[in-house]
Amino acid sequence: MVFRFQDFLDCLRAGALRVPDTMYAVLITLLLGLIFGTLFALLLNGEVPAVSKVVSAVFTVLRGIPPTLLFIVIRLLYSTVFAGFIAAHDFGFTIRDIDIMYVGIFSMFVFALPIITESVRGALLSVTRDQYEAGYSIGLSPWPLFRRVILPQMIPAAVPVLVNNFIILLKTSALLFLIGVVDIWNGALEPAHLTYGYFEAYVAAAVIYYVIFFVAEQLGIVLEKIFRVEKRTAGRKTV
Amino acid sequence: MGDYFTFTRLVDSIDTVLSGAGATFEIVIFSFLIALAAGILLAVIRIRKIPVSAQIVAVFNSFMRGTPMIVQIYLVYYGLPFFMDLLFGVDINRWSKMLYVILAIGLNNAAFFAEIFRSALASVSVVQLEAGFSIGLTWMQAFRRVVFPQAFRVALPSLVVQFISLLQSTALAYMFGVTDMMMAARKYGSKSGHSLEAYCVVMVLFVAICVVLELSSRCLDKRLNTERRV
Repeated sequence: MVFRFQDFLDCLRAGALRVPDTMYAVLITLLLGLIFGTLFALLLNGEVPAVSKVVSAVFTVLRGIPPTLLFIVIRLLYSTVFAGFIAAHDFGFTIRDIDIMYVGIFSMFVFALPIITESVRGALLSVTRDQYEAGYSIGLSPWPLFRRVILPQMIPAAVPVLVNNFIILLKTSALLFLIGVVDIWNGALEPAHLTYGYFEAYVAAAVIYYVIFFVAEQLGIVLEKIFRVEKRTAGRKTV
Repeated sequence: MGDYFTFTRLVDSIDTVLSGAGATFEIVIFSFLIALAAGILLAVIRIRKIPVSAQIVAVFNSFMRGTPMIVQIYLVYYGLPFFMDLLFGVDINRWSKMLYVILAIGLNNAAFFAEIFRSALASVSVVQLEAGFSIGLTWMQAFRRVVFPQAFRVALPSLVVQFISLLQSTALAYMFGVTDMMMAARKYGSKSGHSLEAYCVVMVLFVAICVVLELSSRCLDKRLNTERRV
């Protein structure tokens, strides 16, 4: 067996073409996850009587499902139940007109939500109670308090974990082929279907993922440095 | 939901799905053992800063943590016969597919375990090691009897989280022809034309195991760590 370098380069190029799409999917998922994750984190930390327990239970269940299985089931439900729903009502478009990428992003979002919520919860808990009390003592109401006092302190704590979450999402995006979305993994395999140089394709895919991972890791370190806040002590004379 | 989901088929598929549970269990146990043993070894190599090996291990860990599991399994599946032939002239194309899956998942998690153990070992005060030296233990003995047990307690929560991740990555095994729970669900699906119920059974099983693991981790953590507040 020989390692065919030309095939490797072809696969590398084919996979690299898919990077923008995959990045788009991952970043949208991360953004949506952050918005909803923060809401759910506030919900879970705020301990609203029945709702928090229900949400917590749902998330525990969701965390236990392997992403592979989750994607397969979502794909199945989409092409059966959802397609039936679209076909039964006349919306003016068919199931084939919907970009499958939306299903992909939805699936990744469902997978990512419990994870991101957990990360945001951790960051939220790192802001101590006295901050809340200080805010209330000067008459701030909940939303301005959150926006001006809590959130800025939450971000430095959240950055490392969120970078880690990005990496997890990047690796999970390799499973998007189960939904029919062409991602980096699929893309790198395309030339291999013609040349049968599968090993070269796998190596090419691994290289692409590793490069993105490495860049993300370094970016994370840089971001951590930017967001690092020096601890202030009581020895200060003025603000 | 019309004809998409019925409870009779759900109950019917339980038998078929459970027939694959044995293979899933095998994969999980063996890859966990490989990952544990290799993980400790890799962590030791890194903390001892053995000249060439430590750098190789660092790159290995980085690669394992940065590439998707599915890519890694395919790499091992196609790459191992290639390298075995190249280096040793051995033809291993007859090996069972499950072996490749176990090896790949084991190696992947070995890297994660190595990082977990590395930080856990770093959290154990060097005073413990020096105390061991002061009573005449060698590094190996001090490590085995003094440092590691303490590090293991610290590492346990992260280890359980990683174990759950290991369990979930075994769901990929069906792509290689391994007859595990996922493959059994597909078999039921192709036999009856409805795979949703079978997948639901698999989901319930996975969730049940993960919930049990999370709860026992919390219990264990409480038991092991409450007395140690200095």
